[in-house]
Amino acid sequence: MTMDAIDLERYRTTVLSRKKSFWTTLLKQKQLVFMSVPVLLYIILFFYVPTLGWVMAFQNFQPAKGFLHSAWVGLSNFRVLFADADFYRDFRNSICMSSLNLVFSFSTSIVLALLLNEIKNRFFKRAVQTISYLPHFLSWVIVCSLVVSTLSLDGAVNQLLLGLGIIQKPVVWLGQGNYFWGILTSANVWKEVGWNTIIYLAAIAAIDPALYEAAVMDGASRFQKMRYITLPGIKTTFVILLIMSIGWIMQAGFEPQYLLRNGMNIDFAETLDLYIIKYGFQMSNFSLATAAGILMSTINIAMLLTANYIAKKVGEERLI
Amino acid sequence: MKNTLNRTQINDVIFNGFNGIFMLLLIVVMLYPFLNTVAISFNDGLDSVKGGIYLWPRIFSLQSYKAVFFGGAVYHAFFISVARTVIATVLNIFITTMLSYALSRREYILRKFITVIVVLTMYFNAGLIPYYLLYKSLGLRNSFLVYIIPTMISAFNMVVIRTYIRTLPESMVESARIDGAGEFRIFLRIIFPLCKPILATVALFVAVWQWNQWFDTFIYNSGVQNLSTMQYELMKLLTSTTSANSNPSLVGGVGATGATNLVTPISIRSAITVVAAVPMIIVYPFLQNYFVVGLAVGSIKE
Amino acid sequence: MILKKRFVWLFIAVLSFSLAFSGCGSSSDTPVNNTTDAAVTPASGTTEASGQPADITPTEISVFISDPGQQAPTPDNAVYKMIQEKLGVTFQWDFLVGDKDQKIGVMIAGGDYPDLLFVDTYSNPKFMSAGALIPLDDLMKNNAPNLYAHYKPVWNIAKNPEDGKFYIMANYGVLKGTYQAPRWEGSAFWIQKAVLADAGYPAPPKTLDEYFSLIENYMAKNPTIEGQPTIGFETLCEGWRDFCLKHPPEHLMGRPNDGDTTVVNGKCTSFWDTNEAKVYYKKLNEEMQKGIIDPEFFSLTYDQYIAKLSSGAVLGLFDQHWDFGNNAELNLANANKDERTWIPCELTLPGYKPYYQDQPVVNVNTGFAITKSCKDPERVIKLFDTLMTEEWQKILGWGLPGKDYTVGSDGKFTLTTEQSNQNNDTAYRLANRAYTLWYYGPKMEGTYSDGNATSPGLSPEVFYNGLHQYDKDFMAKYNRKTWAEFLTPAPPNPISYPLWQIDKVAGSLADVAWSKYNDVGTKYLPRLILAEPDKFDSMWTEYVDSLHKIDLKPYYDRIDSQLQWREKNWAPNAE
Repeated sequence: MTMDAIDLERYRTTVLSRKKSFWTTLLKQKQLVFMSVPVLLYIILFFYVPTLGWVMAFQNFQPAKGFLHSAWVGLSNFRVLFADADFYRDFRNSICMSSLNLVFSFSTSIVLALLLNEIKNRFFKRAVQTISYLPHFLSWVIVCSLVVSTLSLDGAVNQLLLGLGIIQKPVVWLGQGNYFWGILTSANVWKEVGWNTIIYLAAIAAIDPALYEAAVMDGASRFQKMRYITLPGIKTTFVILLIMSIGWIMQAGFEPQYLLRNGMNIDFAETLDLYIIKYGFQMSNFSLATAAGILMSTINIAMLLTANYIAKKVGEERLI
Repeated sequence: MKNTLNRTQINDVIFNGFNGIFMLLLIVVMLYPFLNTVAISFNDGLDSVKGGIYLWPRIFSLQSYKAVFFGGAVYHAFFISVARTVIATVLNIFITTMLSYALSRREYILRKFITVIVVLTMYFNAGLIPYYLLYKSLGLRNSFLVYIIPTMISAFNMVVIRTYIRTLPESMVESARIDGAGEFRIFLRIIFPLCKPILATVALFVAVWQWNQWFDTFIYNSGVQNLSTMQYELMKLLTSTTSANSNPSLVGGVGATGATNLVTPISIRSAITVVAAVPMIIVYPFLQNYFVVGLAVGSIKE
Repeated sequence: MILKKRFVWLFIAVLSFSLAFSGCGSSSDTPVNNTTDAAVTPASGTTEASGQPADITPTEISVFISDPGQQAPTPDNAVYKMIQEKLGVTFQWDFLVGDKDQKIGVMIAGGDYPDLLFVDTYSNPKFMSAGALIPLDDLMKNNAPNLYAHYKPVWNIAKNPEDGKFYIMANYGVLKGTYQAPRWEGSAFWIQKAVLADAGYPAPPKTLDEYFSLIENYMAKNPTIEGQPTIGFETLCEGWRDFCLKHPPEHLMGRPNDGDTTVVNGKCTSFWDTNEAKVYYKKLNEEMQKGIIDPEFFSLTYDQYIAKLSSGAVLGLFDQHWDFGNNAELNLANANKDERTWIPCELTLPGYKPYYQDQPVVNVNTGFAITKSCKDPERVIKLFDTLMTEEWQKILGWGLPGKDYTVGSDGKFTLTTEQSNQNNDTAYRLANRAYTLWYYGPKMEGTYSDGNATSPGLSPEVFYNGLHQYDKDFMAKYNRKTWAEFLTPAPPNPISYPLWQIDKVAGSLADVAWSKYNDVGTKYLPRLILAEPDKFDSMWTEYVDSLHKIDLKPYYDRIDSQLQWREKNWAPNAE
């Protein structure tokens, strides 16, 4: 036997045995297979099959002609995107707004969860928690009209800052682009912080109370308990949610931006979602909307995989 | 020793004080807009347009609520909404948790493959028309099933539940297995009950999402009044009030009597917000028990 | 943008039906003619002209209204019940609620159409290119004599420019008898009545300088109105309502409301970069410096804008009346603050003649169309034929006599206060009127053969009876009986008018080019008004340069080619 032949033989045995062991393992795990494979087929049908429609990104799609008879245009829809200065501006705005939102909504909801957890009075705790979740049920139209009136020349914010002597004359908050991201992030945090807290509360609820009891016996302070029991208890949840959210980096939303933008701040307010709505849907250009959508998905998935990889490298819980 | 104890106690008092004040401020900031919305919803529609309503209606009126309940379409739609919310939530929770359990088993040979397939669904969207053509060919158009079938699983919730399951003590699964329990049995008897806090959370997510849906009615069932959901009926009313052409009643009607019994977008929007949110606010405390009060995991362990 | 186009015609609509419900009062001393239902119930079962018994076997017609804003009638609605009994037809309504493009997109992709579609300038090309609509030429000529007679005078205007066939039954602009709208619902500079009263009822201002000096004088005397700081001039640039900020220059140039661009020497032209536009925005810049203009105007939402107008502290504005008449003005009138409401002024720059008021235009491409999915188009067209008779038109336009309106001993239709209020009540209308069918369907506008207006909104009596005493006195000072008389009577519409009816074709190069152009305006106009006065000129140059960087040729080409088509087909001698 030559060396090559030996290698080949070795290769065959390992692969074959691996193959064989794959099927035997699968057979052994048949209950898990029953629990997951039908769901897998469902997901493929309902989520992956429709993506065949992505061909329209490479067509000049007309609903009347369908996928089969619309004209093919190659990459021209993507070229239109890359040639448009507004696309880059909106790209920047999307990334910046969603990054700010990511940082602030994560930090605030964790802090709120920790503080809620420290409330001893059960009734008060439940009341605060319920109330903090109410804004989630207000539509953006209502929230934005409140934002606009709070920030108006004679609104609460200007009154307060004037009263404290921080500003000398009222500021037109929505008239300057560089305030826009801050305003939007604050509105977002306000609306969703209570809602985002719920998931951490659930994680805290799962922490074994015995740990706290033991810590008290050891004379741990409130902050030590937070630092060494509560935070580690919700770390996994935090990391997983963070990885997932990083994958939505391109989704900065469109409703609040649409409602709060105006001629003066438009360079900071337009997002890719608004871009797609404008050039895709309003102009019936389903192809361009799809092309932009594919682009966003690609970036999202790349970010997701990167975040997941980093988590793996630093030895954290990971998504995939 | 006594000194340090005192200091800890003082620190505690200070902390609790500040925390309490912070929470009270939070209550004000979070509650005010909602109370404001309630006040506007009970105010005369035309008068609300002037602004300046805070916590109490200026001219009390039930006209917005009358408009919401006028014609009675909302009542039937309410039952459709409840039905879809309950059925879809139960199904979604069961199937998603089952999948989460399977994918939480580190030894499961298809785990990674299926996880990737499921997780990626969160990051792309095939577009409206492809979904429409698929649902149409599956006969889901003009059917109640379109509320249920496409939403039987949620990737986000799968991840959340799986993460939670992994924090549960592995020893319990092991001992059950030694006792000869199969995967289904372990899932139903051990994992499912232990997951209550996270299932309450996820159920809330699914239920609120289902409850707030109107888009599927709009695209797939808009021609069938019997399948209309409450959110869709509310959207209908809102659209009809906010469109400039729809409200001839509002136009030019300067009568000597000054008829003011008019609904306006601002009053209708507020009434709709209240009507849509109330059921969720009522349900909330029941679910809240599971994640705010906490679950004594230790006691179940035995 | 899309919305703007759609909404411009709404005022016509809104005008005709609803204004009317302002009627009230004085008819209480008129003997009420208690006509029984039977006496006025239309000849049913036969179409008048043909005399043949019509098919009244029960049938259901499914209708999709691709326009937001309607609500379904109650199941026992009086008029629909009558249609069901007399004509055998019930309607299955589907009203647009969410995004129009998405709904139309899936409808076309799936090929599922209802029997009847309400289409407009915007959705029409989509349905046409999908082959969803059927031509009505022969169908109407053979089966619907009333309907054909109705559309014959405007046939060439209403037909499709691409293939010359007739698809859409235009819902507005086909006139009959005398057409007389008492109120101007379109664009104008508006000035508060108190400003004119305070100045001793001078002739309404004709130039920007006169207008603003009246406002400045009043503001100097009245820095606050009922405790609120006075706002000299308000404008709005939110969403599609940005016409308040963008359209004034064309009116100052003596052009009617052509929309975003206008016609000069037979060619479509932008007025955004003209000297006239510069004069206007420079004037606004100066007024801003003087504190006359609301410094927050650019960030106002529509709700805030209406709240400010409702306070009565706003002295002047540029807007279309339907945009604020139904809320802000109504609020003030209800509070008996009629002196805080506004009258229209037709300002022009030196050398231009005012042209604000227009003649009603045929609402081309907007109305009901029958789809290829309809199983019995003949039945549908016959229904509309029957509804086009005067008897049915009265039921659709006025309601039922005795109940919804009053017939005087002289045969004049009027409204009592109660009837006027009923018609203002949405719930009442959903139960008692076939508003949707009237609003979107083919209709007579003007006067019936008995001299009555076709709907309350077009009746001068109903209008004048509904006025408050303050308004009657105010009009008397100017010796006028309607608000419309405050404006120059409309000349015949030129063929190019209105330009906004021309469809840019969604997603075309023309559409994209215009959208970019419009964005530049949105961005620069507020900056120009707020700029330091010494920076205005350089910023204007920057603005005009940015406008010129956008290649508008595809847009002009599209509009001009359509104008040429109109020249060929709309001229009176064209066939």
